Amino acid sequence: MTSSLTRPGRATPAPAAAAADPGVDPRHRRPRRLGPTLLDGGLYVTLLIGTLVMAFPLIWMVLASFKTNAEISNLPLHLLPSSWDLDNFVAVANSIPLPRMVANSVAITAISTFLKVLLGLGCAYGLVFVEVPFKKFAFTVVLFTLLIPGQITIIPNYVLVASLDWTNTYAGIIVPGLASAFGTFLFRQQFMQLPRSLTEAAELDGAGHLRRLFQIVVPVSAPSIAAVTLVTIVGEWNEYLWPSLVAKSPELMTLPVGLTHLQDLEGVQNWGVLLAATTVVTVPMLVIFLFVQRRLVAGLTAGAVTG
Amino acid sequence: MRSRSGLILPESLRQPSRRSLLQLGGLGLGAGFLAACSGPSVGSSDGGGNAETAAETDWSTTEPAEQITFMSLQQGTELEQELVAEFTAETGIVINHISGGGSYEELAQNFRASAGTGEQPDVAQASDVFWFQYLTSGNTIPVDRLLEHLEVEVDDFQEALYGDYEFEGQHWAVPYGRSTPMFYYNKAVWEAAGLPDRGPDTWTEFQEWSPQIQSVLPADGAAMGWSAPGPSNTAWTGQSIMWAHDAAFSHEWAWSLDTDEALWVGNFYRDAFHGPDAWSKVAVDPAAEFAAGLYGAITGSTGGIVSYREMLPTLGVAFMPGGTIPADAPRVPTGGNGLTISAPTPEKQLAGGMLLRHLTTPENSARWAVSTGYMPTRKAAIETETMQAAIAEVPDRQLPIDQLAITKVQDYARALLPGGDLLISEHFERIILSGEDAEPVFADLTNELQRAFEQNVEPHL
Repeated sequence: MTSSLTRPGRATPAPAAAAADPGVDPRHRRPRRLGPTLLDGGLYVTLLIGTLVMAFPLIWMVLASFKTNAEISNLPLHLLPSSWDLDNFVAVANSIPLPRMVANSVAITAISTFLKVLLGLGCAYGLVFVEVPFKKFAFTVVLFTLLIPGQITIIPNYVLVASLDWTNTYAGIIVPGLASAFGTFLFRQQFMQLPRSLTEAAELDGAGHLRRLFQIVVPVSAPSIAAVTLVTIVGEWNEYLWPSLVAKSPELMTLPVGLTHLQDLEGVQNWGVLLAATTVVTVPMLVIFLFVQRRLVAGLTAGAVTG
Repeated sequence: MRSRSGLILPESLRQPSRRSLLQLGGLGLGAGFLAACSGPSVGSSDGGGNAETAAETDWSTTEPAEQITFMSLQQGTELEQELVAEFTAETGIVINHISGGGSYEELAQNFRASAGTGEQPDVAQASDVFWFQYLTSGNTIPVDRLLEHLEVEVDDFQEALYGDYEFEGQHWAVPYGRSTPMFYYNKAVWEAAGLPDRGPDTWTEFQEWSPQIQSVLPADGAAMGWSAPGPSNTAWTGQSIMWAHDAAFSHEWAWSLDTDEALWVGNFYRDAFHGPDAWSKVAVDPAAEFAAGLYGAITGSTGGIVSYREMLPTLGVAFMPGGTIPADAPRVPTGGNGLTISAPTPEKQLAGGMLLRHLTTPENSARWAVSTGYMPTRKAAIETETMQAAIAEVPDRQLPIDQLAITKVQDYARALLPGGDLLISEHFERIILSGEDAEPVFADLTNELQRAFEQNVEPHL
């Protein structure tokens, strides 16, 4: 079943040929209704305001990272810095082991994301394409884990990590979060949309489960994989509480944890330096988002409409 | 010993006690209530830090451990790392210097998480509102005998600062990064308002000055900017205003918020923020907004003496204003953090004591004070060349040292009661933000304090 969705109040556009038909008197052409035009205008204005509201703090953060403390708190506020020097960024690099923290964040994010996506794909494949008893029950359990706040699992996870002697290790930071219910759920919904004939044909050709997964299912599920990957990257990159508990030495700290070392508990908060560090943490994610946002939307909505 | 799964488990997890499980449970409840949800009586020995063993140890026959762990705030400043390196060079004892997070709350959270699995650091920083929780959970040792063995001149510690860590006749920490609240004002505003170049003697005098101050400020300004309500702001400085008017949050474990004096202070706060004669506003970043000229004055920690001046050259510094009690009577709290020993073995406890001795020598205390803005915790530190040079450069550095004469140990309700700091601040928010009358708010607060006491303190006394 297919559904043709058009926006209410708007006629389906006529074919281009008809529009250009010389036999139609332009005076008798149906006049464009004012309502939809105003609606479009209103929507664009709303979108513009929303975009500005969301973008302004980020713009302010980047611009303020070039300002001195006095400039930031000066009244009236000035949007642009008086000079574009990098003093705050230099101060960040001098205050915390920035290259090491960037490397940690990149490594932990990359490894965690890769393994989470891999495990999510495997679980979802098993739930859809492998005939095992209690499949629906297993999926229900997976769904239920989405309802449990992450903070609740911190205590048992910490006990386990400590018992394995994994505190202050990369394994301690990465392993407890590898099971991704979100990824499993999204992939499962995507795989349910795939025609069975795809995998059945591969099975007849003698392909095993792994080959079917990686050569048949994964290529046609690229948008969903991209979406889960991106959401996971952002989540891992910004993760604070768990790494702050497990990583006790600067050699293991990620950027969000490292930022706390720039706080001044006794005296004035150096906002310029803090905002410079926050820019370093935030901008990479924004850039990634800008490049893959279409994939993200496509992936998150895949499997949302069922026929 | 292996568990059934074949995992090698640490001692504390082989037979997890109710206490260790509850300690970990506290982690999930937020740092404010990371207190001893369950634990041994004060100084008992089934915690990580063995208080009874420490009391019986013959230190003269004990050799210090070769390596210990030191958990400090933000893993310390550059100077702290320098001090630790000097200690290792001097003694050969290796320090595994680890981070406790970016705030006192996180520090406590990380300590409790580690202690819950039997991996607590051997030496740890503890803030003024968390050290007692380490004690009630059996994770720290009293330091008196150990410091005596190490020939540390404890009489040289500032009495008000060392006294903060006394409970049941023993000291459970030594002062390290310590501060007091100060009254900061903008001399340029004072001059424009025609006021004398000094801090107000009393809060009511400041209230009388406020119309003149506000007349020279922007329309959205106020005579006074207060830290946004929250732990360690409202309760800490609020304590000073209470004491100045012969009131208190508590006298030991007896709550005293129902007195006429306490209720007067509560309503003084209300009137400062609400009504036609309001002279205060809540500041998100008091220092920045003060420097920008929005407020005539703020209260802040000692660290502001140097750092506020960088933003506001016309900075004035004064003692916290007084009230109805004599001007020389104690009315100012101290704050900040101390160093506790939570090592489980005598060898590590001794090494920890040696680290405490090193970090708090008069010279190192002076270096620490000059570098961080905290106060010198030793009397002899004030006379060092390092400190004298700093005072000569910024004479106002002398003021918090002088103000120590009118400081006193904090009320149990704020400093010792687990979560008390947060409870006080939350209830003061109702007065400051909503303009509620003090009487019902303080009645609710008293009930909450009592409940917290019965749950988190009474079982351990």
